[in-house]
Amino acid sequence: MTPAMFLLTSLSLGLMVLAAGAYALLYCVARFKGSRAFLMLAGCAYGVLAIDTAGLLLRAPIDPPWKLLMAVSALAYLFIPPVTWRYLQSTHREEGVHS
Amino acid sequence: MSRSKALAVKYLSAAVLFFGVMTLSGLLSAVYYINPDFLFGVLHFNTAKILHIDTMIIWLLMGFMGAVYWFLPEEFGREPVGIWAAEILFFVFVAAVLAVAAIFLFVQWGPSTETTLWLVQQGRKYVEAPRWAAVGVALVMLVFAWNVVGTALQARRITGIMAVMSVNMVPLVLLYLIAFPAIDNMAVDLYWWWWLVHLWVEATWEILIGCIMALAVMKLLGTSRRIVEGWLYIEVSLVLGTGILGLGHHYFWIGTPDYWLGIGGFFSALEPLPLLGMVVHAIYDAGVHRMKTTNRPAFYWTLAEAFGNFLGGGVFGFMITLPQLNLFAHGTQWTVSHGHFAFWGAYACGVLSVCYIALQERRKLATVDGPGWIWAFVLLNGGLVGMVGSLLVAGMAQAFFERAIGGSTLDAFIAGQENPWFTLGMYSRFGFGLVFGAGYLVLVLNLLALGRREATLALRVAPAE
Repeated sequence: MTPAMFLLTSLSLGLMVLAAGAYALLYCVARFKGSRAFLMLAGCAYGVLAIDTAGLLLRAPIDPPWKLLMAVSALAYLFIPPVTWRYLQSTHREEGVHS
Repeated sequence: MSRSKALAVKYLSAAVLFFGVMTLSGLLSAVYYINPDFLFGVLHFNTAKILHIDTMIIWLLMGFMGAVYWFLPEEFGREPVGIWAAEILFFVFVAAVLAVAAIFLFVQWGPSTETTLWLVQQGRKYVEAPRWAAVGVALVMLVFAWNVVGTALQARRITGIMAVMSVNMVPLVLLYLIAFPAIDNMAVDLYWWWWLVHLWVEATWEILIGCIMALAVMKLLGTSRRIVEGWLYIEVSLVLGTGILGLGHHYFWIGTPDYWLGIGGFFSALEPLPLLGMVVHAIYDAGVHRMKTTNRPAFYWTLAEAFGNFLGGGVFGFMITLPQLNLFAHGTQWTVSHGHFAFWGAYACGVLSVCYIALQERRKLATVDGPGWIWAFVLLNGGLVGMVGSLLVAGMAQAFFERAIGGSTLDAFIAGQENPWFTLGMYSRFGFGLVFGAGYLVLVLNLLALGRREATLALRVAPAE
């Protein structure tokens, strides 16, 4: 691993999780507001995550098992916000928190 | 007010006080990086750093205990079984902390003997306190555990949150015992030390703050116990599942088999997943209640806890969690940056949230708001983000120039320390540290003044009526 690739790989990993956070935040705002614009922004955030992950898979000097972990994590990040959202909605509905 | 809540206020007050000591000693430590001759012969860097990291442990522990003692009577409908012992031990705890601080300031070290271990310090980072003080801390923790578990037994009822907290008391007390043995072999010593540091922080503390925040959210937003407990179980299982084996990512250069780095890296890489779920939960709760609450500072500190944990633990941690990368970043200012952000997000914000919850009830305030807390919130979080950003830049310079290019030689170390990116990061860290310090002062003023003006106005208005 060259020094430049070390730094680039590390920053890409940070960006991956940061983009996941932005996707989750925008997804939640979109669901609350019922806004397609925010949903598209959330999609853009996930797009950044996907491109970043693709870059890691293609260029990062890390072994295949780690790349597999990155790919699976990227997929998990896609589903965590909607799945968590549905879980929260159902539990709140059962408890009668929502009107 | 119940005795337990009165004790909680004492603990939370002491926590805020030691938070100040931590901030001041942190600022001092930052000065040494830009002026190594600072207070030469009077107060050395190592002493300031010991005070900084040890008071960090102490103020957070006191904050956790304060929070738990605050919520215990509400959970069980009675005083804790050993409240009298806890009340006595609070003063013993504070006196011991002050005595240890005095020892660090005026004695600092001694010959390599048992007497030094017992009376001066034990020499392990984060748990340097002399053995007599460590015995005291263990005793305080035991009584704390007794008050949680014993009260549940005597009340003959237990809630899900308290069940999780009770089980967590076992490792919380047991893992601290690693602070005691003096192991001659440094590699073996570090092996166990990582258990203390990592498992305490990333397992038991994480669960404890999870329980505290569950109680806080119920109080703040009126969220039902079933929802909060359901989420707590998921969070605890995920955090434990990823956090316990994530321990392996620390096992560099201490003779452990290579596979530990792989195991540690793998499970650490999974840690951001539950944190993302927590962010979604925080946004959901905030949105459901349309950001409306009677205690805005507590609510915002709770939100800061979720986001800070995700950014500090998740984003900053993920950058350096793979063993191939951690090899270069380990022990640089990069890890300091991650540590500062993660501790702040995961724990400090939660404790500050409980401080405001306790104050609202203690001062009988219908609502808690006003500009004071906003200033404190912005200055503290802004200062912290600035500090960790500066440390990140400095740490990257270290990892890049000193480790990756220079190959970790002494020359490379010197070159890394003199690199403009590193020095700029150190100056910038100090500057943002001052912002953080100003935030602390505003926080204390706000905590002291909160509701008092309204009370005074009410007293003035009353005679006219």
